[in-house]
Amino acid sequence: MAAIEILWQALVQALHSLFTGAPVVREIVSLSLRVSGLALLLTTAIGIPAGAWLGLHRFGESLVARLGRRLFIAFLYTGMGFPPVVVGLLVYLMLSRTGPVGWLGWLYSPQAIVIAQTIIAFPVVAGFTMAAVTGVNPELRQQLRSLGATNWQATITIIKEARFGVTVAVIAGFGSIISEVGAAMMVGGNITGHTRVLTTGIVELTRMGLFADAMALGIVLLSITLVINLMMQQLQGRALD
Amino acid sequence: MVIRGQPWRLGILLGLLPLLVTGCGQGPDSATEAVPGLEGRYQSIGQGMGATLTLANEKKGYTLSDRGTFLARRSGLGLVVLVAGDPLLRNHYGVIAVNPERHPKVNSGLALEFIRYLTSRDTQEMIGGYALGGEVLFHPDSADWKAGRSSYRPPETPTSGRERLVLATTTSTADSGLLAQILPFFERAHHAEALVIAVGTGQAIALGRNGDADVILVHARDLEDRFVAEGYGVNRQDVMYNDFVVLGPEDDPAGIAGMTDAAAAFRRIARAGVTFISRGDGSGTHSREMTIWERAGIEPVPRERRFTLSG
Repeated sequence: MAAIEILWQALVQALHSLFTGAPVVREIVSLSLRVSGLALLLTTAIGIPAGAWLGLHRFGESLVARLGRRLFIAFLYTGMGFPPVVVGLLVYLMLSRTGPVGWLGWLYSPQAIVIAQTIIAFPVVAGFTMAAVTGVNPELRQQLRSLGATNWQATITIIKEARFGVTVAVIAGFGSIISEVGAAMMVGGNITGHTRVLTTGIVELTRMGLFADAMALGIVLLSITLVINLMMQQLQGRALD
Repeated sequence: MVIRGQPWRLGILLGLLPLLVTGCGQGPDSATEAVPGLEGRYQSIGQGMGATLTLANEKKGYTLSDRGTFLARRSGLGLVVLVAGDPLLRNHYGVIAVNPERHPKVNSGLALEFIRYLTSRDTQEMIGGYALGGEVLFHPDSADWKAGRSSYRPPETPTSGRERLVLATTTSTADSGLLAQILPFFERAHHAEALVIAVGTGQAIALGRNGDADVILVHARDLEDRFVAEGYGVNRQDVMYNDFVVLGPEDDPAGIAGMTDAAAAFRRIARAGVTFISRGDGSGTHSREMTIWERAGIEPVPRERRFTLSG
């Protein structure tokens, strides 16, 4: 079969399985959404406050404090490009039967994938959030404080003011999570009906030489990501229009 | 934190969250439904032999492996060989050149030379002598070897430019170190470079089918025969065999240690309700595992639950 025919067949197959809701596809889509959705919630809950704090808080004016802050941010930026398989390997070693938290029995479970994906997406969400809040005019904070806002209220207002960038942070985090394959394969194990998500399913079908099926699943993955990003765009308000 | 003036935007997001968390379809719990005897303890992972061994080890489960990969990975694994020696567990490797009439761009000349080299007596002796940890992994099986024919001579005038041979093969031949042992001589003799793509048998055959490999070395006879019958492959030759072994945890809760009938051992595994890890990746090992289940009269994965979209 020629490569172009494979693409065509994949498109037909993808539409077919999306609309008929083939149980195999429904199951994988459902698990992918639940795992990545939960990881996104966790990483947003930790990443946005962490990024806002890094962007707005100064640790003092001394040279050590400034260098320390720069070094910490450099680590965060490095984390944004951290290879997911390395995160997967770390999580594997933690959760393995012989690992420190092996007693949880979470290896090769959806929980293991959630943990790995949360770690992968955290630097992305925190880093973009930091950049977004740093871009807000610093005088706004002083103005808010002089108007009687508490520190906490001022921070919330700045995050709202930076919502365009903060939403990009969440979207980028979601992108790194839903498209991730190495860690999900390593700590999830791609077990049928238990830990097989869209990306690991694509790898599996490719290994079996079922290229059209694999591509069809890829198209399903892209469609889902597109729909979710369209929804998340709503948070950015009218700035895009 | 209502976004000023547009509270409905937040409403949409809040409405989306439960969808993200609960997913749109039914949960995965419904997936591992009752297979008589196995009752959800049969886990198909669609990965290579190495990952399968790691998983079986972590889950204290049973699995089917080729002996070579198991020996290469044995240290650090709590798995032991429980069943071996059944003729059903013999694993034959075949080499096939990709048909140049289908894919004119393949390096057919070098592929045919490679087959001659692989099946020649010298190479066959090298294969039979290759050992890992004191154990012989592969046994020579080519027609030339059986007929005791003379050794391989490369053509007098090797090609001028540096040629490339793409060999799609299974992980077992690469991971065991066998190819690293036998390829250098061929590469020197032909002034060529052999690119090894180590994947499952299913993907190796698909690579040949698409003309992305020049020659394939795999182990699944029925798939090989179909590959040739459909006109994708030419000059299929027997190369060697090794054996599959049934592995399990040392304490062997299913009580199959020492059995020599693989199908009977599989029946006992199914009855004991222990975990069985299947590669489930369309590889030669997976296809043999399916044959053994069939022989045991057990269908571990119902037809409608098999992982293909096209069926």
